[in-house]
Amino acid sequence: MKLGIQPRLLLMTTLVLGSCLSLAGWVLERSFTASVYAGAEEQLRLVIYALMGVAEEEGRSLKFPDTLPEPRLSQPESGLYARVVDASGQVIWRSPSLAYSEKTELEGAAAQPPQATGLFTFDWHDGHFYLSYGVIWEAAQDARFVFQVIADEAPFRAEIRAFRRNLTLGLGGVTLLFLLAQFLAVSWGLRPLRTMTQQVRELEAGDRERLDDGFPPELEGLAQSLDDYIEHEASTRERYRKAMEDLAHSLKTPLAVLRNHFSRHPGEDVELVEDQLDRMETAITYQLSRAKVAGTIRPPRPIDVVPLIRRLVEAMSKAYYDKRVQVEMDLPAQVKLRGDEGDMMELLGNLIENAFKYCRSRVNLSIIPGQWVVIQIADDGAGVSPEYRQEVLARGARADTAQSGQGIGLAVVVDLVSAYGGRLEIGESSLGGALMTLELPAT
Amino acid sequence: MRILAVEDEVTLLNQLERALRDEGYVVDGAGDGQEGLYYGQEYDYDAAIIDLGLPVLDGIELIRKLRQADRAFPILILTAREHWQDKVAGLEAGADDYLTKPFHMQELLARLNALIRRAGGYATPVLEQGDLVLDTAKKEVRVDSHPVELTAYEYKVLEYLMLNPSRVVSKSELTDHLYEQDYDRDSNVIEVFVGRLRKKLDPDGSRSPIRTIRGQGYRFGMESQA
Repeated sequence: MKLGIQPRLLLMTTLVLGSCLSLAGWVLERSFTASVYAGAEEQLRLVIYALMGVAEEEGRSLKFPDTLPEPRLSQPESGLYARVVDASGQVIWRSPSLAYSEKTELEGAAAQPPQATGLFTFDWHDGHFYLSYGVIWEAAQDARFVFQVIADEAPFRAEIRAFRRNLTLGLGGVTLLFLLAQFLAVSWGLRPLRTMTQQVRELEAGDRERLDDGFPPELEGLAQSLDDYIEHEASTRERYRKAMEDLAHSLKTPLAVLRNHFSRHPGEDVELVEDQLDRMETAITYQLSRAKVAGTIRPPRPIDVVPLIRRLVEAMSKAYYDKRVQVEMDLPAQVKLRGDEGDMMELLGNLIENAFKYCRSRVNLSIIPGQWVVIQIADDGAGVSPEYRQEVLARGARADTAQSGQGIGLAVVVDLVSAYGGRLEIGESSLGGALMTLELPAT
Repeated sequence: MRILAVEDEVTLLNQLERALRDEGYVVDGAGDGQEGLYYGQEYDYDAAIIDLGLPVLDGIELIRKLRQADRAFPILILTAREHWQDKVAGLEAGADDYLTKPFHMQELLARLNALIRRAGGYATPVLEQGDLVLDTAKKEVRVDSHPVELTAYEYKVLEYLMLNPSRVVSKSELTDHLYEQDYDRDSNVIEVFVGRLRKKLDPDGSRSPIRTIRGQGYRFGMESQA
């Protein structure tokens, strides 16, 4: 599942929060409603007691005074009504509020004969509360009566509605606050992860050597492992490189000694010996150069190649002083490439040296910056034959078929260029000699 | 010509010394950078061959220190580790040319030769002064297009003087630069060579290629024939 950690956390907590608060709200409303109804019943009960208090026996019936303890019973449309029913279901008294209101819908309920006595029966329907109480009136010769009080539900309903509205607003507000707080908490909690992601990206890009310290304990282990891994990888490859270099170095000196010896004491196999010595030297030089490609060890950083080129040209001009090479350079102020400085020096050094070596007297250098940096080196020498061009570019000239000198240099260049994902083209320059066009990615 | 060779591989150093001596150079060999620095500061050389990978004192540091000590002789770097960074660093530190190992001795000698005559102010292997022509590559001398036969030492004296033109060269300087240290030297020998040179180069006394500066030494300067 591609859902991020932050959305996961937020979704989960929102759901939980939402459900809990909804549940709480429902429970609260239920309780409130119940208490409202209980209150209503209590009120009505009091009315019944009051009525019972003012009732007077008249033979086997009851009579009630005009002034009632509860004023609302005397007001029409007051919302509070009362009546008393005898054992046969006859209504023996109605409160004035009931008598003078047109509440025909209430009449039906009156036909209920008394059931149990001494028991309050509370009910609600048709928008009214009904409280009934059956009694045996001792003083009226044990006649049975049912006192009934009826109240309009409307005001109670309104109260419940108001509560519900406030509850919703309140809980809703709390929910929003909670959600906000939780969002902030999750963001803050996940910040180290974002920081780490950013740093790893920088690592890959070569803008950073290792991760910072200071990650929280949960991530520390990971950061440490990453750093260790990078370090280990780099040092392993570095060791390999050094081993190759040392090997080549230790082979070169005996070869140099052999070579000099044979040139001083040429025997009958001098050609064979020199040939084999050449091959050995070429192989060593070539493999050594390949092993040196440092760009694979660490992610390369951006470097400016313009000063590199200037230094190389100056060095070459010094070494080829006698040749009095005229160098024309068309270089921008700064050209950044992603690469190891050593590798770039090897690449450009070989190309520039070739230009100086094989030119007659002129070398031109130019760079065209862009997504792909194009470096062109032209000389006015003899050029490179088409067959040889093919050979060099085909694979980078296998070491044992390469001619030493121009071959080695170019073979190394081709290797480096392909390691960096670039291109090398060998063509003819307008000066008459070779034109090397090098394309390297800028990022 | 006196050469300083600094190379830590003993076999290679021996070969270098032998090859240079065969060519007629006087050679002092040093096995590490410290020794090389000592020699370079103590004695006067016409050129130096320095290996970059030296113990005790690194090749590039050695070059820097020599230049700081105002040792202006040309320096040829030898390097087995062919990082361009090293070559460029060496040249920037004050060297004049580089050669990667393994190398052909011929190439080393040719480059050394080129460096020395470059230091003497000559752009080509053929040194010309007036109608005196000395070909350092072929080791031939001509006066007015006629070849002149010189012995090895006569040639060396002439070459040294021509490569240090318009400067007074003392007899002891000549001895230092042209003879190995253990040679039984006698400054009289120089006088004899110079005398013979004069006779061979200037039979009728009109050119006076070598002037004697009383009490100081010799100076080379050709007056062209009118």
